[in-house]
Amino acid sequence: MTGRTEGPSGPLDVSTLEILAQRAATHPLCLDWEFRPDSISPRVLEIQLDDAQYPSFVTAVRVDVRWFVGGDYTVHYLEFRPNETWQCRWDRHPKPVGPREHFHPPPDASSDIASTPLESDHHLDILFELLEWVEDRIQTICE
Amino acid sequence: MSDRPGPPDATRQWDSDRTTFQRVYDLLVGTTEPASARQFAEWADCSENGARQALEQLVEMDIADSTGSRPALYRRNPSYFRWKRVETLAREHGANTLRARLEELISEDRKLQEKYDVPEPDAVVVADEPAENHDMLHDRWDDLTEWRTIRRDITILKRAIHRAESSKDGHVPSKT
Repeated sequence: MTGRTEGPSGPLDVSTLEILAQRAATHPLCLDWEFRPDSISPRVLEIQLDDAQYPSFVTAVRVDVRWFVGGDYTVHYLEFRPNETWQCRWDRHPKPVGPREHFHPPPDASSDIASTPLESDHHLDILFELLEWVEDRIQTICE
Repeated sequence: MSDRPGPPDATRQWDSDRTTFQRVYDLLVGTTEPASARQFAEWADCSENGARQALEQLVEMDIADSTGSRPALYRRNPSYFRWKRVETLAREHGANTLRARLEELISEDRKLQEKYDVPEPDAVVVADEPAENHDMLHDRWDDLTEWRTIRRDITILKRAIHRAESSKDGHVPSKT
């Protein structure tokens, strides 16, 4: 984002997370959302996706979003199966080496960082790109 | 994700569901660093004039801050969003519930002070050691962002408790 601070990340940005939750809720992929551990002092926004659009071995799908004042974030995609969780994560946070934006690839959100970040520069575009990525993911897994 | 023709479905839906004013508002909420009306117009896919009108209206409502420079730069007004959160907490939760949660936050804050042996998150010395592995850095980043969140929320909760107690039955009346 224009002029975005490159200093340490701020506290969790609850107002921005509320907007992300409300805009996600209008999308056909999204079933519900809630703040964890509670709405008084949230730590993460959990967005439940519609597992009916996935093959039957996927029992639940969730995206955990944390957005911080100043624009840093983590977006964590989790696909629950009987014996494992297929997952990956997009991050933007300070690092001494390498790009601030990076990707922890599936199937286990490995700490081997890949350089395919979400490319958008504001919160809603990141949500929209993520939803688009989920649509592609559903197509791939259903093939 | 970048070389696709036209915007993705979710963007198109947002464009058609929300008015220009609503889209500028959605964008303003996440904007903590000043940005120009031209930048907002680009994000909201509207005219620069349309973005400026929406932003000026949001400034009038005290929801946005303007630098008053040429060109003017806009960002959300942090005190408006703090006030809004205090009001929501006071309205949706009683003073007792908020007080119990405040105690938990104070205790979490104390644990982090002990773990890092400093009084506040900004006093934690972060060595820029490239040798440190990513997981370790990520864990510490988690702790520090959580600590900043706890600190901010302690202030917000104290104000919300005060607000709830200042009304007769411990609850702020619902919006009419």
